[in-house]
Amino acid sequence: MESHRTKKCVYLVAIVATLFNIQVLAVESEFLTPEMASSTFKKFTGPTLLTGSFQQIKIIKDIDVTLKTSGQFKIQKTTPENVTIFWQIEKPQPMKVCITPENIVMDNPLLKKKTTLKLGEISDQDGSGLSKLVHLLKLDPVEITSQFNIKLDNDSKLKAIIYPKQKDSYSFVSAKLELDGNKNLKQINLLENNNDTLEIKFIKTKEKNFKVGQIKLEECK
Amino acid sequence: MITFRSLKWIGLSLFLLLSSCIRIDESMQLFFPKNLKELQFVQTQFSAFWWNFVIIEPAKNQKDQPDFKSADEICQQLKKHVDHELRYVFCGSSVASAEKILKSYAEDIVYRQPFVEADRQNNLAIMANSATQVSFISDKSLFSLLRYDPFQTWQQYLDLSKSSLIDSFEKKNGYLFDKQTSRLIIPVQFQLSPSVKSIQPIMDDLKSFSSAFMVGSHGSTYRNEKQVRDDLSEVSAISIVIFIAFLAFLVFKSRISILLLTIPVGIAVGLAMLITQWIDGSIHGLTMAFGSGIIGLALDYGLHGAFGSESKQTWVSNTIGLLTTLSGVCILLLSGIPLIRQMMIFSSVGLAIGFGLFYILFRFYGSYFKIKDIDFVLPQIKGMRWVVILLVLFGLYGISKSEMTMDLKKLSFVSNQEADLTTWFFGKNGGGDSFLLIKPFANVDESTYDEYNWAQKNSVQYEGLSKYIPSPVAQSLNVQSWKLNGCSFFKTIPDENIGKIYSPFKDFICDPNLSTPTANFEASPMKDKAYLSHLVGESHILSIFTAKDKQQAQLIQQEYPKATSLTEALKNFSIGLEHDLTWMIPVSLLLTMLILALYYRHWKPVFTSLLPFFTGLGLYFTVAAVMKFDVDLISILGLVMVFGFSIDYGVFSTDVHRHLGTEAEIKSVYSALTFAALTNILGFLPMLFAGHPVLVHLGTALFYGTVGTYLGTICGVYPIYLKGKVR
Repeated sequence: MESHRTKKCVYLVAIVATLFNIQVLAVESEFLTPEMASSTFKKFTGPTLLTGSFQQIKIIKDIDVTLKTSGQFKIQKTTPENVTIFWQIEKPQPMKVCITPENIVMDNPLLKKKTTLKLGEISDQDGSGLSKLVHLLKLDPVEITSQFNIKLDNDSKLKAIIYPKQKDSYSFVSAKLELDGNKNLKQINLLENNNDTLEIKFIKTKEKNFKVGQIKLEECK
Repeated sequence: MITFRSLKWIGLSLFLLLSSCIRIDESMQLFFPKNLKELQFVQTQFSAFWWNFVIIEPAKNQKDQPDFKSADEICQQLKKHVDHELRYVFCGSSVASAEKILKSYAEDIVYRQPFVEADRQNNLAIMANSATQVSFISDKSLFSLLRYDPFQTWQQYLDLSKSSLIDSFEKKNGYLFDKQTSRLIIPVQFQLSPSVKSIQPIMDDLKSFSSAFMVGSHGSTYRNEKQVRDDLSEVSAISIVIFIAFLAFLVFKSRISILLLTIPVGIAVGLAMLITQWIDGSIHGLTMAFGSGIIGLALDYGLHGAFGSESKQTWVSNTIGLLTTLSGVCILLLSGIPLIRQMMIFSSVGLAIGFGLFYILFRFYGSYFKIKDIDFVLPQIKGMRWVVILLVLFGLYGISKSEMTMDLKKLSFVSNQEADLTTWFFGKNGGGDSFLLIKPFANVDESTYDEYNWAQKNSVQYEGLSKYIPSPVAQSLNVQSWKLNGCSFFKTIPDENIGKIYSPFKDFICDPNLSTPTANFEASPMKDKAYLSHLVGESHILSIFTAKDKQQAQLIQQEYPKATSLTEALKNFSIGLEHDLTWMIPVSLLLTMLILALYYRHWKPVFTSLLPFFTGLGLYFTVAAVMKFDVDLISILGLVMVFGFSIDYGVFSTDVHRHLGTEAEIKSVYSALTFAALTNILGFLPMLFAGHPVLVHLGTALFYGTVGTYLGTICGVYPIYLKGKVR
C-alpha cells in the first residue's frame, strides 16, 4: 500500500517536472539566443562612424507633459565595447551631451557649466536613464544578449522588443527597437517603469567605415 | 525608646525613599571641565558630528575585489532605517537620500540671489534646457527634485558641500571605494546623538554581514555600552555565585548578623545622594557607581566596631581612619573635572554620614551588632617579610616613576579591528586641525555671515552658515524680488510644458506665506532648513574652520578667538589632569602623614599605618607592569579607594598593638580586617573578568590593591609589633 503511494508520488513529480521543463523551453524559445542575436544585430567588423539627426519625444504621463527635442548625433565605435555618443541638441535650446563607456558630460552653454557623470560611480541599481540607454545604443550583440531578453517581431526581422533581464537594474520595462536596412538603429521606444515613454528616431543615418587605427575615440570634454 | 527592630525597618524604608527621590544624570556633560564642555556640547547638539561610516571589507576569497554584493544588501537594509533611526544613507542608486537636502537648497534660491526681471529670456532658455535634461531622467525622486530646481542649483550645492575626507575616496557603483584595500564605504547620518537605543536596530541588521564594520561616534558608543552590559551580566553572574558562597560561609560561622551593617551604609549612600543632588541639581550615574564604593568603606568602621565592641580604642582608630581617608578624598575636590569633584563630595559626605550612623548605633545599640571573632586570619608564612619589603619598594618606585596616562581615548573600549579601521579611515582626512566656533542664536549677527568671505580670502577650509546663505538683510531683499517679479514670471511662462514641469516651484514662490527672514535667528526659518541642519543645534549654530598648517591655525585664532580647537582642547585636558594629579597625590599623602604624625607623635606607628598602603600600591604597580596596563584616570580613582581603606587597616592594626591590646582584642581587630579584606576581594574579583578597559583597570587597582594591603597588614604590621611571635 505504502509503496503504491510512493510510486504515485514519483509519477506526479515526474509529470510536473516535465511540464515545467516544457514551459521553460517554450518561454526560452521566445527569445533570441546569443548566436541568433549576432546574426540579427550587426557584427563588429571595424571602426565605424555613424552620423545623422534625431528626434526625441518624452511623454511624462503624471503631469501630461510632452517634451520634444531634436538635433544631430554622432556615434564613434572603435571596438565592440568602445563607443562615444555625441548628442548635439539644437531644439528647444542648444546643449551637448557626450557619452563614453566611462562618462556622461552635459555641456549647458546657458548655465556656463558642464555636468560630468562618471558611469563607474553610478550604482547598477541606478535607473536615471541616460546611463542605461548606452547599452542599447551600442547594439553590441554580446552585450545586448547578456543584459536583455530579445524577442523578434513576427513580421519583420528588423524589429525587436527587448526586456531587461534584471528588472531592478533598469528604469524601463521594455524597449521596441527598429533597425534600418544597414542594421543601424532607426527608432527606439522605451516604456519606463513609471509608464512614461521615450521615443528616439534616428534620421538619415550615414555610416562610414575605417581601418583599425584610422580613427580615435574622441573624449568627452 | 525606639527598639532596634523598628530602627532596622525605619532605616531600610528611609533608604528606599531617598533612592526614589534621586534624579540620575547619565549625560557626559559632567565629565568635562569648562573648556571641554563646549566640545562635548557640539557632539550632542549638531548632526555634523553624527556621521558614521559602514566599511565593507572585500570578500574573503577575492581579496582584491570589492564586495558589491554584500554592499548592495547592506545598502538596502540601511535604507529601511531612513526617517527612523537614520537621517541619510548615501549608497546605491539615485539622489533619493539627499532629496530633502537638495530640495531645500533648490527652493532657497529665493533667499540666496535676487530674481532679475531683465534676465527673462535667459531664464526661459535655461529652464527649457533643464527640461531637456529632464527628458533623459526616469528616476522619480530625481525628477520630483528637479521640478523644484528650474535653474539647476543642485550642482552648486554638491560643489559647496564637498568634503576632503569623502573626496579622498573614489566612487564606484554608488559607493565610496578605496583602491588600495578594495574596501567599500557607506556614509550614514543618524537622527540623534549617540545612544544604544537608536543604534541597536542598525547594528542588529549589520550582524549578519561579518565583513561590515561601522566606524564613528555612534558605532563606538554602541560597542562601549554593549561591552559594559556584557561585562556587567558576566560580572553579576560571578558575583551572585560569590555572594551565595559568602552567605553560606556566614551561616556556617553563625555570623549572618554582619549583613545588618549594610543598612547604615545604605542610608549613608541615600543621604549623600540627596545632599549631592541639592548641591548639583542631579547626580551622575558614574558618581553613584564609584562614590558608593568609597562610602562602602564605612563598612570597615562598622566591622571594626562590631568585632572590637569591647575596646575603647576602636572608635579613636575609626576616627583617625576617617580623617585620613577624607584627606585623600577632599584634595581631589580641587580637581578640574566636575565629575571627580561631584564624586568626591558624594563620597566624603556619605563616608562622614556612615561613620556618624555607625558611631551612634554602636554607642546606643552596640550589643545588637556585637560579633564574635572568627579565627580566620592568614597564617604567618616564612619569608613573607621579604615579599612585603619588595612590595613597599615597588610601591615607592611606582609612585615616583610610573607615568600617568590621562588620554580619554584609552578609557574607550576599542577592539583591534576598530582601532585599525578607525585610524585607516579618518587618517584619509589629511590631519588638519579643526576650530569650532559655537554661537547662541542670539549672537548670530552680520559678522556671522562674513565668515565665509574671510575664509575664502585666507584660503581656509570652512563649513558654516555663511557658506550657504547671505545675511538676513540680503535674504529679505532677494525674497522680495521673487515675490514681486519671480512669481508673475513663473505664472506667465509661454511654454505650457515647462510651466507644468516647474509648477511646484511656482507654487512655492507664489505662496503668500513664503517667509521673510529676520535678523533674529531664533525666529528665522533658516534654522529649520535641511541643508543647514548639520550646523544648527537646538539653541546654537556651529562654524568649523580647518587649518592646514600652524600659520592658518594662528590666523583663525586671531580672527575668531572664541573658536576652540578639538585636538588642542583634548590635549590640554589631559595635560591639566596630569598636572592636577601630580600635586594632589603628594599633598594628600603629606596631609595624611601629618594627621598620623600628630596622632602618634612617633615615626614607627606612622610608618606601620602607611605600610599596607605601600604594599597595596606595590602589588598593583607590579601587576600593572606585568600586564602592561597604563596608570589612567580610572586606576587613580581605584587607588584613591585603596588609599582610603589601606590606611584604615594600618591604623586599626597599629593601634591595637600600640595600645597593648589583649590577645582577644588583637584577634578581634585582625578578624575584622580579614573580614573587610575578604568582602573587598570577593567584591572586586569579578571585575577582572570584564572586557571593558574601565572595569578591568578599576578592578585591577581595587583587587590587587586590597590583596597587597592585606598582605602588608598581616605580613608587615603584625610581625613588626609581635617581633617574630607566630599566632
